[in-house]
Amino acid sequence: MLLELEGLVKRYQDHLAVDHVTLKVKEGEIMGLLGPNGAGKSTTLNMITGLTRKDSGAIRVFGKDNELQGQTIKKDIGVVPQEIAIFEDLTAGENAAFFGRLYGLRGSLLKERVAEALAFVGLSDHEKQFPKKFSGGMKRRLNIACAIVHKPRLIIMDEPTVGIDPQSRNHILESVKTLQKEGSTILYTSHYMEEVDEICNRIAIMDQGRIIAQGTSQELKNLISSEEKIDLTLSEVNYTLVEEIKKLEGVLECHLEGKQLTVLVRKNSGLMGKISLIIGRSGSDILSLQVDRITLESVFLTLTGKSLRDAG
Amino acid sequence: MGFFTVFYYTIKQNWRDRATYLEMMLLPIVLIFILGMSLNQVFTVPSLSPVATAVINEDTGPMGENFNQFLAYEKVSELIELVPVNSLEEGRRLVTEGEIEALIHLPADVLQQEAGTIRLITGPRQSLGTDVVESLLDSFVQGANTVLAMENMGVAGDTFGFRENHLRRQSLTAAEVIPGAMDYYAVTMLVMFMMYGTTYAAFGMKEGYLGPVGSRIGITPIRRSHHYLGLVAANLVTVMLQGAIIITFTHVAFQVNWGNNLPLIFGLVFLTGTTAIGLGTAIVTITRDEILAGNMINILVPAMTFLSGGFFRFNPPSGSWMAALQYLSPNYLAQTALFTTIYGGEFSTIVVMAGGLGFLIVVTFAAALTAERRTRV
Repeated sequence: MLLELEGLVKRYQDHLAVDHVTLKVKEGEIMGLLGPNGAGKSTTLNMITGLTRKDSGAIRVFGKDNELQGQTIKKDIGVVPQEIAIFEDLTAGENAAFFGRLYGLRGSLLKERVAEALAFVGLSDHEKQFPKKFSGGMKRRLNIACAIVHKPRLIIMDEPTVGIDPQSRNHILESVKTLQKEGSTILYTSHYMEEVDEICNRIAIMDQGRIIAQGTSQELKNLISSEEKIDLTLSEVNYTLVEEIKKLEGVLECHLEGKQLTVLVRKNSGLMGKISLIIGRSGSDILSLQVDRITLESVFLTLTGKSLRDAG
Repeated sequence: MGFFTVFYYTIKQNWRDRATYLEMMLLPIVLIFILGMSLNQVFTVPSLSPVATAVINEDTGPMGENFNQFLAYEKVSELIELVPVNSLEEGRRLVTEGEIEALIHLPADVLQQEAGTIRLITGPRQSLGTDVVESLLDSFVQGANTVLAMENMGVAGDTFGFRENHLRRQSLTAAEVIPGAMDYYAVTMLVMFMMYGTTYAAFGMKEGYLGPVGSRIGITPIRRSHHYLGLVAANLVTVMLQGAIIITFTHVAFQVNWGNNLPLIFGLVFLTGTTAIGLGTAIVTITRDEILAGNMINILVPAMTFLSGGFFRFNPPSGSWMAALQYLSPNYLAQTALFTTIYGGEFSTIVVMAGGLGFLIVVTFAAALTAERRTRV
């Protein structure tokens, strides 16, 4: 195992931020850590990188204890932090070179790696430009370049696509896949289930400091394969109908967001008629209806009782 | 090596922030010029014209003779202008009318009479002129008393033995010894703007150590101490360079007197800069809020400058709480040490002031390190 977490605990006064987390990441895989804001993902990552002290448990990276051999381990880890952490008054090239130097790169090797890192994130033409003139997406890409300039074995990416345009987001997701092909192991956190579903080999779902399920995307979906999700768009909003639908035998979860009603029911429960009746009685019309295939969203909804997008 | 990387790139960033750097250099230079020119009168020592004085010397003995000799000395005649009078009454009238400032009366056979018979008559208002005459008379009386005491002890001597070379000239008016307004404000503004170096430390530490970039650097293999010291050293060099430019420019353009001991001056500038960096680091590490830190600095630095007489000369009574408070102001310690160095004061004063700055450096950096460790999770 490239990374092993065992019974990891972090507490802030009365708040248990990370609650006995156990996780194993194999060499060469992309491990997704999925969970809402405040689930404990970033705290877990900070403990792995040594930025936050753990209260108890064990962290082994490359088979080494991260407390005893932290300095050695750090040389082979690259971190893409959630917040953009680059210098606005250094050019893109200088930013990458600064972090390259901190990882011990010098001379022609440093130049070569800086050029490679910038090319990798598509910023070769902007090497001499200052990030203050960059778009949010370009800054995010430079944020990644600074983390991979020393070609680390383990790359930790903490929500690298937050708040960027779709083009930059796709570029980043493709880059992550390429990094994996080149041999890197990636621990990727996000609260966007689609991207985790798209790029991760295995996924751990985290909520309230705990890992509540882990496995491949299909394994997680199989957990709730006996269920189906019904999405309805209503003409009127009536919150009492949610309570009524929840009382039906076979309904696992019901959730109203604006005029969008999501109902998780047991497969083949034949509840559609009864649900339509309740909606009709409430004075609302069904404008559209869709029975969805199982997604990570519905997995999360089933496991935690809340929508991933709202849970944060 | 991590230390040099942090140091080099921080210097690079500080240098690129030209607007701030120019502001930190141009503003003190402009202020030195404006304050120096506009307040020059306040700092100019007025020239002393000879004091109109009348003398009634009725003593025909050695005392009267020597007193006449004393008055004839060039140094004495430069200070008093003798106005002839015919009688004591006329002299009193001239004093009363303000025509003369003082009247000296030596009665006949003064040595045969009781002590205190040489009289100085002045008007009701004490002035610098009457002080000068009183000092001269005092010098004469002390010399005379010495000779009389020697005679009583049996030491031979037939004159009072005044010599012109017994009067030593201490510079009161030499422009190169007493600071003019430009010289004064060059020192106080240099210190004030070096203390504004706290902002470099506060914002530099916030971004490079406590903020997201600082956290990111903390994940790399660099030692925390190297990271911390690299930032401190870079900000210190930035502030030192600023100080050196102000000193050089004011010396060349305004002929400001920085004394002859430049190594000591730069040593004190180094201590002042380190104090500023220590203070800024402590404030931002304790508050963890760059806006709050910036507001605190914007209040603290002018207050410390005011307290130390940086805007106008300010000497609270010795022993008062204000005087004690001045010793807590790095500006006061730095200014006093610099003035003492430039104008040839006691070396022990420089040591005490430098020691005070050293103490503040230790306290501020200790506070910053304690706060940093306490907030690390």
